Amino acid sequence: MRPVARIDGLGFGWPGTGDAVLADVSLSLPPRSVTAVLGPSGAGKSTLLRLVAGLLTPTAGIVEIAPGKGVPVAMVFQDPRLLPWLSVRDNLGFALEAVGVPRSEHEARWRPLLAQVGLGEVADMRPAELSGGMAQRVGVVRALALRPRLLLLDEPFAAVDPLRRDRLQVLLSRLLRASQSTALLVTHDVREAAVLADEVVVLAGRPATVMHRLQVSAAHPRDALDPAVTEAARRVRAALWAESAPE
Amino acid sequence: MVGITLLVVLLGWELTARLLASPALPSPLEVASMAAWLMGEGTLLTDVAGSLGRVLSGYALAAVGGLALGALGALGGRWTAGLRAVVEVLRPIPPIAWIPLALLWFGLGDPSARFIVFVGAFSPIFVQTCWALSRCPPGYLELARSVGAGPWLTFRRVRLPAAAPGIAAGLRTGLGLAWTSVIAAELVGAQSGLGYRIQMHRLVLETDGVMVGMACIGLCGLLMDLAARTVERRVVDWSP
Repeated sequence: MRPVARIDGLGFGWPGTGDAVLADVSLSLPPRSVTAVLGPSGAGKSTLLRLVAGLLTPTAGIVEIAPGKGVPVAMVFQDPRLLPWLSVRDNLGFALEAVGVPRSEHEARWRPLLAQVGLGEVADMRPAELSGGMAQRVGVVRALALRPRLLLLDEPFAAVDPLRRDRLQVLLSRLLRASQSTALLVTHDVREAAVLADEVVVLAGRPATVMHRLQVSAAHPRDALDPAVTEAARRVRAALWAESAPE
Repeated sequence: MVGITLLVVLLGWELTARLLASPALPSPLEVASMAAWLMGEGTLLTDVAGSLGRVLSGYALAAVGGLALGALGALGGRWTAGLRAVVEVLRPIPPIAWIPLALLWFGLGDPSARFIVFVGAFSPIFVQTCWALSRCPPGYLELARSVGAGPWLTFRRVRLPAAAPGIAAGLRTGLGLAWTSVIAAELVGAQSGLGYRIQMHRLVLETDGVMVGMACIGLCGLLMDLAARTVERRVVDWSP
Protein backbone atom coordinates (compact mmCIF):
# COMPACT_ATOMS: atom_id res chain seq x y z
CA MET A 1 0.00 0.00 0.00
CA ARG A 2 1.33 3.45 -0.92
CA PRO A 3 2.44 5.37 2.19
CA VAL A 4 0.67 8.60 3.11
CA ALA A 5 3.99 10.15 3.97
CA ARG A 6 7.55 9.26 3.12
CA ILE A 7 10.48 10.78 4.95
CA ASP A 8 13.76 9.98 3.29
CA GLY A 9 17.27 10.78 4.55
CA LEU A 10 16.02 13.80 6.48
CA GLY A 11 18.63 15.99 8.12
CA PHE A 12 18.44 19.31 9.94
CA GLY A 13 20.80 21.71 11.67
CA TRP A 14 20.09 25.16 13.07
CA PRO A 15 21.54 27.75 10.65
CA GLY A 16 24.78 29.34 11.79
CA THR A 17 25.40 26.95 14.68
CA GLY A 18 26.93 24.05 12.79
CA ASP A 19 24.99 21.87 15.21
CA ALA A 20 23.23 19.00 13.39
CA VAL A 21 20.03 17.97 15.17
CA LEU A 22 18.81 15.19 12.86
CA ALA A 23 20.65 13.04 10.33
CA ASP A 24 19.44 10.50 7.81
CA VAL A 25 15.99 9.96 9.33
CA SER A 26 13.80 7.80 7.13
CA LEU A 27 10.22 6.79 7.85
CA SER A 28 7.30 5.50 5.86
CA LEU A 29 3.81 6.08 7.23
CA PRO A 30 1.17 3.69 5.83
CA PRO A 31 -2.47 4.85 5.54
CA ARG A 32 -4.55 4.69 8.74
CA SER A 33 -1.50 3.96 10.86
CA VAL A 34 -0.15 5.76 13.93
CA THR A 35 3.62 6.03 14.25
CA ALA A 36 5.03 7.20 17.56
CA VAL A 37 8.45 8.80 17.83
CA LEU A 38 10.21 8.51 21.17
CA GLY A 39 13.66 9.48 22.30
CA PRO A 40 15.63 11.24 24.98
CA SER A 41 14.96 14.94 25.61
CA GLY A 42 16.60 17.12 22.98
CA ALA A 43 16.78 14.26 20.48
CA GLY A 44 15.00 16.38 17.87
CA LYS A 45 11.54 14.75 18.03
CA SER A 46 9.61 18.03 17.88
CA THR A 47 12.02 19.31 15.22
CA LEU A 48 11.18 16.26 13.12
CA LEU A 49 7.47 17.08 13.42
CA ARG A 50 8.05 20.72 12.43
CA LEU A 51 10.04 19.58 9.39
CA VAL A 52 7.18 17.32 8.32
CA ALA A 53 4.71 20.19 8.93
CA GLY A 54 6.78 22.47 6.70
CA LEU A 55 7.42 24.89 9.56
CA LEU A 56 11.17 24.27 9.21
CA THR A 57 13.22 23.60 6.08
CA PRO A 58 15.38 20.46 6.08
CA THR A 59 19.07 20.73 5.34
CA ALA A 60 19.03 17.27 3.74
CA GLY A 61 16.52 14.72 2.53
CA ILE A 62 12.86 15.03 1.61
CA VAL A 63 9.39 14.86 3.11
CA GLU A 64 6.78 13.63 0.67
CA ILE A 65 3.07 13.70 1.48
CA ALA A 66 0.97 11.69 -0.97
CA PRO A 67 -1.44 13.81 -3.03
CA GLY A 68 -5.11 13.47 -2.18
CA LYS A 69 -8.18 15.12 -0.70
CA GLY A 70 -7.97 17.60 2.18
CA VAL A 71 -4.97 19.44 3.52
CA PRO A 72 -1.61 17.63 3.56
CA VAL A 73 -0.92 18.02 7.29
CA ALA A 74 -2.44 19.43 10.46
CA MET A 75 -0.75 19.74 13.80
CA VAL A 76 -1.74 19.36 17.44
CA PHE A 77 0.73 21.26 19.61
CA GLN A 78 1.96 20.54 23.13
CA ASP A 79 -0.16 23.43 24.41
CA PRO A 80 -3.72 23.86 23.11
CA ARG A 81 -2.71 27.06 21.32
CA LEU A 82 -6.22 28.42 21.12
CA LEU A 83 -6.47 32.12 20.33
CA PRO A 84 -7.79 33.65 23.58
CA TRP A 85 -9.76 36.42 21.85
CA LEU A 86 -11.85 33.98 19.83
CA SER A 87 -14.60 31.63 21.01
CA VAL A 88 -14.12 27.90 20.48
CA ARG A 89 -16.36 28.19 17.40
CA ASP A 90 -14.21 30.98 15.94
CA ASN A 91 -10.95 29.20 16.78
CA LEU A 92 -12.14 26.22 14.77
CA GLY A 93 -13.47 28.54 12.06
CA PHE A 94 -10.12 30.34 11.81
CA ALA A 95 -8.28 27.12 10.91
CA LEU A 96 -10.98 26.10 8.43
CA GLU A 97 -10.99 29.57 6.84
CA ALA A 98 -7.20 29.38 6.52
CA VAL A 99 -7.37 26.17 4.50
CA GLY A 100 -10.16 27.55 2.31
CA VAL A 101 -13.21 25.66 3.60
CA PRO A 102 -16.34 27.74 2.77
CA ARG A 103 -17.84 29.38 5.85
CA SER A 104 -21.17 27.59 5.30
CA GLU A 105 -19.43 24.23 5.83
CA HIS A 106 -17.50 25.14 8.97
CA GLU A 107 -20.01 24.00 11.56
CA ALA A 108 -20.69 20.70 9.79
CA ARG A 109 -16.96 20.01 9.98
CA TRP A 110 -16.40 20.66 13.70
CA ARG A 111 -19.78 20.09 15.38
CA PRO A 112 -19.74 16.22 15.26
CA LEU A 113 -16.08 16.08 16.33
CA LEU A 114 -16.69 18.41 19.26
CA ALA A 115 -19.59 16.20 20.34
CA GLN A 116 -17.40 13.09 20.05
CA VAL A 117 -14.86 14.53 22.49
CA GLY A 118 -17.67 15.42 24.91
CA LEU A 119 -17.53 19.17 24.33
CA GLY A 120 -20.79 19.71 22.48
CA GLU A 121 -21.74 22.62 24.73
CA VAL A 122 -18.57 24.71 24.66
CA ALA A 123 -18.75 26.19 21.14
CA ASP A 124 -19.49 29.70 22.38
CA MET A 125 -17.04 29.69 25.27
CA ARG A 126 -13.68 31.44 25.28
CA PRO A 127 -10.49 29.37 25.89
CA ALA A 128 -10.07 30.98 29.32
CA GLU A 129 -13.33 29.30 30.38
CA LEU A 130 -12.03 25.80 29.52
CA SER A 131 -9.87 23.49 31.63
CA GLY A 132 -6.47 22.42 30.24
CA GLY A 133 -7.84 19.03 29.16
CA MET A 134 -10.89 20.58 27.47
CA ALA A 135 -8.73 23.11 25.62
CA GLN A 136 -6.42 20.35 24.41
CA ARG A 137 -9.41 18.36 23.13
CA VAL A 138 -10.49 21.46 21.17
CA GLY A 139 -6.94 21.57 19.75
CA VAL A 140 -7.35 17.97 18.57
CA VAL A 141 -10.76 18.76 17.07
CA ARG A 142 -9.28 21.78 15.24
CA ALA A 143 -6.67 19.56 13.58
CA LEU A 144 -9.11 16.74 12.74
CA ALA A 145 -11.70 19.17 11.32
CA LEU A 146 -9.18 20.08 8.63
CA ARG A 147 -9.31 16.41 7.49
CA PRO A 148 -5.56 16.23 7.00
CA ARG A 149 -3.92 13.41 5.11
CA LEU A 150 -1.36 13.30 7.92
CA LEU A 151 -2.04 14.35 11.50
CA LEU A 152 0.96 15.51 13.52
CA LEU A 153 0.72 15.22 17.30
CA ASP A 154 3.42 16.92 19.36
CA GLU A 155 3.14 15.51 22.90
CA PRO A 156 -0.53 16.41 22.87
CA PHE A 157 -1.24 15.54 26.50
CA ALA A 158 2.08 16.48 28.11
CA ALA A 159 0.48 19.34 30.03
CA VAL A 160 -2.54 17.32 31.22
CA ASP A 161 -2.59 15.62 34.64
CA PRO A 162 -1.91 11.83 34.56
CA LEU A 163 -5.47 10.76 35.38
CA ARG A 164 -7.02 12.80 32.58
CA ARG A 165 -4.17 11.84 30.27
CA ASP A 166 -5.16 8.13 30.35
CA ARG A 167 -8.75 8.98 29.38
CA LEU A 168 -7.65 11.40 26.67
CA GLN A 169 -5.33 8.79 25.16
CA VAL A 170 -8.18 6.31 24.86
CA LEU A 171 -10.43 9.02 23.42
CA LEU A 172 -7.79 10.05 20.89
CA SER A 173 -7.22 6.42 19.91
CA ARG A 174 -10.96 6.05 19.16
CA LEU A 175 -11.03 9.32 17.22
CA LEU A 176 -8.06 8.35 15.10
CA ARG A 177 -9.60 4.97 14.27
CA ALA A 178 -13.03 6.49 13.58
CA SER A 179 -11.61 9.15 11.28
CA GLN A 180 -9.22 6.64 9.65
CA SER A 181 -6.41 9.11 10.23
CA THR A 182 -2.75 8.60 9.58
CA ALA A 183 -0.76 10.14 12.41
CA LEU A 184 2.78 10.84 13.48
CA LEU A 185 2.96 11.19 17.25
CA VAL A 186 5.86 12.58 19.24
CA THR A 187 5.76 11.69 22.92
CA HIS A 188 7.84 11.16 26.05
CA ASP A 189 5.24 8.79 27.44
CA VAL A 190 6.04 5.15 26.64
CA ARG A 191 2.57 4.01 27.67
CA GLU A 192 0.94 6.67 25.46
CA ALA A 193 2.96 5.38 22.52
CA ALA A 194 1.90 1.80 23.28
CA VAL A 195 -1.80 2.76 23.53
CA LEU A 196 -1.91 4.84 20.36
CA ALA A 197 0.74 3.59 17.97
CA ASP A 198 1.05 0.75 15.48
CA GLU A 199 4.76 1.38 15.18
CA VAL A 200 7.16 3.00 17.63
CA VAL A 201 10.36 4.60 16.39
CA VAL A 202 13.17 5.44 18.81
CA LEU A 203 15.34 8.41 17.87
CA ALA A 204 18.71 8.80 19.57
CA GLY A 205 22.25 10.04 19.14
CA ARG A 206 23.60 13.47 18.21
CA PRO A 207 22.65 14.13 15.48
CA ALA A 208 19.64 11.93 16.12
CA THR A 209 18.71 9.11 13.82
CA VAL A 210 16.35 6.13 13.94
CA MET A 211 17.82 3.52 16.31
CA HIS A 212 14.88 1.16 16.80
CA ARG A 213 11.56 0.32 15.16
CA LEU A 214 9.06 -1.69 17.16
CA GLN A 215 5.66 -2.94 16.02
CA VAL A 216 2.73 -2.77 18.47
CA SER A 217 0.28 -5.44 17.44
CA ALA A 218 -2.27 -5.22 20.30
CA ALA A 219 -5.85 -5.10 19.02
CA HIS A 220 -7.90 -1.89 19.15
CA PRO A 221 -9.60 -0.50 21.15
CA ARG A 222 -6.74 -0.49 23.63
CA ASP A 223 -6.20 1.00 27.02
CA ALA A 224 -3.20 1.38 29.25
CA LEU A 225 -4.07 -1.74 31.29
CA ASP A 226 -4.19 -4.21 28.36
CA PRO A 227 -1.50 -6.89 28.87
CA ALA A 228 -0.47 -6.51 25.21
CA VAL A 229 -0.05 -2.75 25.69
CA THR A 230 1.96 -3.32 28.88
CA GLU A 231 4.19 -5.77 27.02
CA ALA A 232 4.68 -3.33 24.13
CA ALA A 233 5.49 -0.54 26.61
CA ARG A 234 8.09 -2.79 28.25
CA ARG A 235 9.81 -3.43 24.91
CA VAL A 236 9.79 0.26 24.03
CA ARG A 237 11.18 1.16 27.47
CA ALA A 238 14.00 -1.38 27.04
CA ALA A 239 14.89 0.16 23.67
CA LEU A 240 14.88 3.66 25.16
CA TRP A 241 17.03 2.63 28.10
CA ALA A 242 19.50 1.04 25.74
CA GLU A 243 19.90 4.40 24.01
CA SER A 244 19.98 6.60 27.09
CA ALA A 245 22.20 4.40 29.31
CA PRO A 246 25.07 6.32 30.94
CA GLU A 247 28.37 5.85 29.11
CA MET B 1 -12.56 55.80 51.86
CA VAL B 2 -12.24 58.13 48.85
CA GLY B 3 -14.96 60.35 50.30
CA ILE B 4 -13.18 60.62 53.65
CA THR B 5 -9.85 61.46 52.00
CA LEU B 6 -11.55 64.13 49.86
CA LEU B 7 -13.22 65.61 52.94
CA VAL B 8 -9.91 65.73 54.83
CA VAL B 9 -8.20 67.48 51.89
CA LEU B 10 -11.01 70.04 51.60
CA LEU B 11 -10.98 70.70 55.36
CA GLY B 12 -7.20 71.10 55.34
CA TRP B 13 -7.47 73.49 52.40
CA GLU B 14 -10.22 75.52 54.09
CA LEU B 15 -8.23 75.79 57.34
CA THR B 16 -5.03 76.82 55.54
CA ALA B 17 -6.94 79.42 53.48
CA ARG B 18 -8.46 80.91 56.65
CA LEU B 19 -5.10 80.87 58.39
CA LEU B 20 -3.26 82.60 55.55
CA ALA B 21 -6.16 84.89 54.58
CA SER B 22 -4.41 85.68 51.28
CA PRO B 23 -5.90 86.26 47.81
CA ALA B 24 -3.26 83.78 46.58
CA LEU B 25 -5.13 80.93 48.27
CA PRO B 26 -8.93 81.21 48.10
CA SER B 27 -11.00 78.80 50.17
CA PRO B 28 -12.86 75.87 48.58
CA LEU B 29 -16.13 77.72 49.08
CA GLU B 30 -14.83 80.77 47.18
CA VAL B 31 -13.65 78.53 44.35
CA ALA B 32 -17.03 76.74 44.27
CA SER B 33 -18.84 80.07 44.16
CA MET B 34 -16.61 81.23 41.26
CA ALA B 35 -17.31 77.95 39.47
CA ALA B 36 -21.06 78.45 39.91
CA TRP B 37 -20.81 82.00 38.57
CA LEU B 38 -18.75 80.91 35.54
CA MET B 39 -21.21 78.09 34.87
CA GLY B 40 -24.15 80.45 35.09
CA GLU B 41 -22.45 82.86 32.74
CA GLY B 42 -21.80 80.03 30.27
CA THR B 43 -18.05 80.75 29.99
CA LEU B 44 -16.97 77.52 31.64
CA LEU B 45 -18.91 75.24 29.31
CA THR B 46 -17.78 77.22 26.26
CA ASP B 47 -14.15 76.87 27.35
CA VAL B 48 -14.51 73.14 28.08
CA ALA B 49 -16.16 72.64 24.69
CA GLY B 50 -13.40 74.65 22.97
CA SER B 51 -10.62 72.60 24.58
CA LEU B 52 -12.43 69.31 23.92
CA GLY B 53 -12.93 70.21 20.27
CA ARG B 54 -9.19 70.85 19.83
CA VAL B 55 -8.31 67.66 21.67
CA LEU B 56 -10.65 65.51 19.64
CA SER B 57 -9.56 66.86 16.25
CA GLY B 58 -5.81 66.74 17.09
CA TYR B 59 -6.17 63.35 18.75
CA ALA B 60 -8.08 61.88 15.80
CA LEU B 61 -5.22 62.86 13.49
CA ALA B 62 -2.63 61.46 15.91
CA ALA B 63 -4.59 58.21 16.27
CA VAL B 64 -4.88 57.70 12.51
CA GLY B 65 -1.24 58.63 11.91
CA GLY B 66 0.12 56.76 14.94
CA LEU B 67 -1.80 53.57 14.15
CA ALA B 68 -0.93 53.58 10.45
CA LEU B 69 2.75 54.48 10.85
CA GLY B 70 3.08 52.25 13.94
CA ALA B 71 1.77 49.30 11.92
CA LEU B 72 4.16 50.19 9.10
CA GLY B 73 7.04 50.42 11.57
CA ALA B 74 6.19 47.02 13.04
CA LEU B 75 5.57 45.11 9.85
CA GLY B 76 7.99 46.87 7.51
CA GLY B 77 11.07 45.21 9.01
CA ARG B 78 14.39 46.85 8.17
CA TRP B 79 12.76 49.02 5.49
CA THR B 80 11.07 51.09 8.18
CA ALA B 81 13.96 51.14 10.69
CA GLY B 82 14.53 54.78 9.66
CA LEU B 83 10.95 55.70 10.56
CA ARG B 84 11.31 54.11 14.01
CA ALA B 85 14.62 55.93 14.53
CA VAL B 86 13.09 59.33 13.60
CA VAL B 87 10.24 58.85 16.08
CA GLU B 88 12.67 57.71 18.78
CA VAL B 89 14.67 60.93 18.31
CA LEU B 90 11.57 63.17 18.36
CA ARG B 91 9.80 61.31 21.18
CA PRO B 92 11.72 62.78 24.14
CA ILE B 93 10.93 66.34 23.04
CA PRO B 94 7.99 67.42 25.23
CA PRO B 95 4.94 68.87 23.42
CA ILE B 96 5.46 72.20 25.17
CA ALA B 97 8.85 72.56 23.43
CA TRP B 98 7.02 72.48 20.09
CA ILE B 99 4.89 75.54 20.96
CA PRO B 100 7.30 78.17 19.56
CA LEU B 101 7.53 76.27 16.28
CA ALA B 102 3.76 75.80 16.19
CA LEU B 103 3.25 79.56 16.63
CA LEU B 104 5.76 80.30 13.88
CA TRP B 105 4.20 77.80 11.50
CA PHE B 106 0.49 78.19 12.24
CA GLY B 107 0.19 81.47 14.21
CA LEU B 108 -2.07 82.05 17.22
CA GLY B 109 -5.26 79.99 17.30
CA ASP B 110 -6.75 76.55 16.76
CA PRO B 111 -4.29 75.10 14.20
CA SER B 112 -1.35 75.62 16.61
CA ALA B 113 -3.23 74.00 19.49
CA ARG B 114 -4.29 71.07 17.31
CA PHE B 115 -0.70 70.61 16.17
CA ILE B 116 0.53 70.50 19.80
CA VAL B 117 -2.20 67.97 20.64
CA PHE B 118 -1.11 65.88 17.65
CA VAL B 119 2.54 65.98 18.75
CA GLY B 120 1.62 65.00 22.33
CA ALA B 121 -0.63 62.09 21.38
CA PHE B 122 1.25 60.70 18.37
CA SER B 123 4.35 59.26 20.06
CA PRO B 124 2.68 56.91 22.58
CA ILE B 125 0.24 55.67 19.94
CA PHE B 126 3.02 55.05 17.39
CA VAL B 127 5.39 53.43 19.89
CA GLN B 128 2.75 51.18 21.48
CA THR B 129 1.31 50.12 18.11
CA CYS B 130 4.76 49.35 16.76
CA TRP B 131 5.77 47.48 19.93
CA ALA B 132 2.55 45.49 20.27
CA LEU B 133 2.37 44.44 16.60
CA SER B 134 6.00 43.33 16.49
CA ARG B 135 5.72 41.20 19.63
CA CYS B 136 3.01 38.73 18.69
CA PRO B 137 3.53 35.48 20.66
CA PRO B 138 5.50 33.17 18.31
CA GLY B 139 3.26 30.22 19.20
CA TYR B 140 0.23 31.95 17.67
CA LEU B 141 2.17 32.78 14.53
CA GLU B 142 3.36 29.17 14.29
CA LEU B 143 -0.25 28.03 14.59
CA ALA B 144 -1.25 30.39 11.76
CA ARG B 145 1.60 29.07 9.59
CA SER B 146 0.74 25.47 10.43
CA VAL B 147 -2.77 25.90 9.00
CA GLY B 148 -1.45 27.86 6.04
CA ALA B 149 -3.09 31.19 6.95
CA GLY B 150 -2.11 33.95 4.53
CA PRO B 151 -0.63 37.30 5.62
CA TRP B 152 -3.95 39.17 5.65
CA LEU B 153 -5.82 36.47 7.62
CA THR B 154 -2.89 36.20 10.04
CA PHE B 155 -2.88 39.98 10.52
CA ARG B 156 -6.66 40.21 10.95
CA ARG B 157 -7.22 37.22 13.22
CA VAL B 158 -3.89 36.82 15.02
CA ARG B 159 -1.48 39.77 14.99
CA LEU B 160 -4.01 42.56 15.40
CA PRO B 161 -6.07 40.99 18.23
CA ALA B 162 -2.87 39.90 20.02
CA ALA B 163 -1.62 43.47 19.82
CA ALA B 164 -4.97 45.03 20.79
CA PRO B 165 -4.23 45.41 24.54
CA GLY B 166 -0.94 47.21 23.79
CA ILE B 167 -2.53 49.39 21.11
CA ALA B 168 -5.43 50.27 23.42
CA ALA B 169 -2.98 51.25 26.16
CA GLY B 170 -1.17 53.51 23.66
CA LEU B 171 -4.45 55.13 22.58
CA ARG B 172 -5.41 55.76 26.21
CA THR B 173 -2.00 57.21 27.11
CA GLY B 174 -2.18 59.34 23.96
CA LEU B 175 -5.58 60.70 24.99
CA GLY B 176 -4.24 61.71 28.41
CA LEU B 177 -1.26 63.44 26.81
CA ALA B 178 -3.52 65.10 24.24
CA TRP B 179 -5.50 66.67 27.05
CA THR B 180 -2.44 67.97 28.93
CA SER B 181 -0.94 69.20 25.65
CA VAL B 182 -4.00 71.24 24.69
CA ILE B 183 -3.94 73.06 28.00
CA ALA B 184 -0.24 73.86 27.53
CA ALA B 185 -0.94 75.09 23.98
CA GLU B 186 -3.89 77.24 25.09
CA LEU B 187 -1.85 78.85 27.85
CA VAL B 188 0.28 80.59 25.26
CA GLY B 189 -1.20 80.19 21.83
CA ALA B 190 -5.01 80.31 21.85
CA GLN B 191 -7.87 82.80 22.16
CA SER B 192 -10.26 80.45 23.97
CA GLY B 193 -10.37 77.22 25.98
CA LEU B 194 -9.55 76.25 29.56
CA GLY B 195 -5.83 77.04 29.27
CA TYR B 196 -6.59 80.46 27.81
CA ARG B 197 -9.16 81.15 30.57
CA ILE B 198 -6.67 80.17 33.30
CA GLN B 199 -4.17 82.60 31.81
CA MET B 200 -6.78 85.39 31.72
CA HIS B 201 -7.71 84.82 35.39
CA ARG B 202 -4.01 84.85 36.32
CA LEU B 203 -3.49 88.20 34.59
CA VAL B 204 -6.26 89.79 36.71
CA LEU B 205 -5.08 87.94 39.85
CA GLU B 206 -8.29 85.87 40.16
CA THR B 207 -6.78 82.84 41.85
CA ASP B 208 -10.23 81.29 42.37
CA GLY B 209 -10.80 81.46 38.58
CA VAL B 210 -7.41 79.82 37.98
CA MET B 211 -8.39 77.04 40.39
CA VAL B 212 -11.76 76.53 38.73
CA GLY B 213 -9.94 76.06 35.44
CA MET B 214 -7.50 73.62 37.01
CA ALA B 215 -10.32 71.64 38.64
CA CYS B 216 -12.07 71.43 35.28
CA ILE B 217 -8.90 70.14 33.63
CA GLY B 218 -8.57 67.44 36.29
CA LEU B 219 -12.23 66.46 36.09
CA CYS B 220 -12.32 66.35 32.28
CA GLY B 221 -9.06 64.34 32.22
CA LEU B 222 -10.50 61.87 34.71
CA LEU B 223 -13.76 61.49 32.75
CA MET B 224 -11.88 60.99 29.49
CA ASP B 225 -9.66 58.33 31.07
CA LEU B 226 -12.70 56.56 32.53
CA ALA B 227 -14.41 56.61 29.13
CA ALA B 228 -11.25 55.29 27.45
CA ARG B 229 -10.90 52.49 30.02
CA THR B 230 -14.54 51.50 29.54
CA VAL B 231 -14.11 51.30 25.77
CA GLU B 232 -10.82 49.40 26.24
CA ARG B 233 -12.45 46.83 28.53
CA ARG B 234 -15.22 46.24 26.01
CA VAL B 235 -12.97 45.97 22.98
CA VAL B 236 -10.23 43.88 24.64
CA ASP B 237 -12.58 41.83 26.80
CA TRP B 238 -10.42 38.67 26.66
CA SER B 239 -7.30 40.28 28.10
CA PRO B 240 -6.40 39.13 31.65
